[in-house]
Amino acid sequence: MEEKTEFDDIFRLYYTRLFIYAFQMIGTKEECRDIVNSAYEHVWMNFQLMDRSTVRSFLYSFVRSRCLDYLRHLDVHNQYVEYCKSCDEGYEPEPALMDMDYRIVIIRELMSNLKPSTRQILEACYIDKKKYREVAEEMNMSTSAVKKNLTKALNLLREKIAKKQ
Amino acid sequence: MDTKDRPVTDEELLDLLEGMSERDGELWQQVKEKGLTDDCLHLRLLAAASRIGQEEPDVEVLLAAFHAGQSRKRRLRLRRWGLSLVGVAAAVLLLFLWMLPGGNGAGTGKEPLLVFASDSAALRSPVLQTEKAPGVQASADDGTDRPAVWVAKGPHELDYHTPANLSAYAKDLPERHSLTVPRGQTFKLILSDGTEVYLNADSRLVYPSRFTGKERSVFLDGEAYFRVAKDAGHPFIVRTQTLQTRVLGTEFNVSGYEGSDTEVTLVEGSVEVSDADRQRTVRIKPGEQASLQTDGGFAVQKVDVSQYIHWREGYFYYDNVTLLDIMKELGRWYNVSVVFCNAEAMESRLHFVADRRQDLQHALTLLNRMNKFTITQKADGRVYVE
Repeated sequence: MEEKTEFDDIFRLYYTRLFIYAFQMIGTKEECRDIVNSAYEHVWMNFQLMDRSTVRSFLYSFVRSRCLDYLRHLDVHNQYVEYCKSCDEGYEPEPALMDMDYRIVIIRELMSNLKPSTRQILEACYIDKKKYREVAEEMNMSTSAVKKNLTKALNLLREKIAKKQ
Repeated sequence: MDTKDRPVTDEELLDLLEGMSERDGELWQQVKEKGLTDDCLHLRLLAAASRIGQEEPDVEVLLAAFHAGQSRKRRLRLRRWGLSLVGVAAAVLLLFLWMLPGGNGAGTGKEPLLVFASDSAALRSPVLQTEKAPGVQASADDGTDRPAVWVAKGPHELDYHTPANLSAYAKDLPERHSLTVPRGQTFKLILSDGTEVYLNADSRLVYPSRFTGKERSVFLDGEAYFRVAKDAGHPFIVRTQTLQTRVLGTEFNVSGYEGSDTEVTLVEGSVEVSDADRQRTVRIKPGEQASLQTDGGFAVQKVDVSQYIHWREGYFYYDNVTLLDIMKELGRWYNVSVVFCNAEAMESRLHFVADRRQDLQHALTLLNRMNKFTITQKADGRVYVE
């Protein structure tokens, strides 16, 4: 029973973060849920043998490779797959500090600092993939105000990351 | 991260990413070449975290569903190895198998067909699993020390709404409970908000001992009838493996046995039914039934709601329902296997009412009185339709 409790804690801790990670890459919730679920299934099946300190990186790399597989099946451009691959590379000197999980934790903390309208703009631009002008019209503001909101969110995040490093 | 050193301004970055498409190879090449991978990732993560945060996944419910799925898979694996399992405190397995008769030529369409399989490891009485006490019998008090959060009102009723010990209740943290009802029985639960849940045979409900937070969320495997206590501020959500139903206060039936379509039938009020991701949603009115189609869409049809009211009151009630569906229900209730030797009979539609408290023989006698087919329980224990 102790193992189950331990596993349950891991499930609770990373589930939403892994979901956000996958969603950012592939954009369909249904597929994300299947992928995150099968990552946990692998952990659960091999839990006795697993080194607890590697569970987190296992979960992320499992989700990553499944998402890449999924993308390769879709009609996306190969350059996009390459881009996704490079997202969690490139921090070789200090991978522990800037790994994906850490970024997501910071971003989740940041959510409460963002105005609802800023969040709405972020979603419209980068999930629903609307043009800035369209978003501006919908929200009854100027295109430059839309951009200003986006830059502001990005800068807040940059500051936060810089502070933690 | 110094802005002056950045070769690309934020203005340029945003212009580049405008309406970004995964199909645009040029764009992604530029993102990489110009060293914008991080910024682009961060914008996408911000958007994703915001969207997912709109409706945080209910991790507790997902966790319960995960373990339920795992134990079902484990049992399937064990069964394949021919091991029998005793005392498994979880929903039982339904097998809808095409049975081929030994020796006879296959594919003629005349072979006896097993439409419902009995389960020898089926539970005998309802089982309540809590985090502290896995697998206690959910029956009336037997003198053992029980948590104070619920009261047993009989062998088939639990009440969380009027706890026995109010001060202990207030101190107790909400726990995840799971109630499994065996074949041939039903169970009434009163949840902490006063919502009444009638669980049908062979079903399982996962719910918190006390609702907290914005939503009242439960997970169902099998079939249940809900009379939801009105509370407009806290939507009540019933999730199954495939769909979710959101309500504010109403009466409805959810049926999602494994191997059958999941159906939501509304008796009173108004509900919103969505697939598990809430990508597709449909609103139904009283007397309507929504079912999830294999293509992911919903079919809505008018139904006679009496059937869903009568099972709760201890009757099999069917109007214009196929013999196949009726026999599956009888198989589930009496835990017997059902074999059709007469495939035509499967599709005949009947009006049929029987008392569930009577034995199987009683129901079969009533069916045989229609003189359309012969249904008998043979020496091997299975029920044959000829």
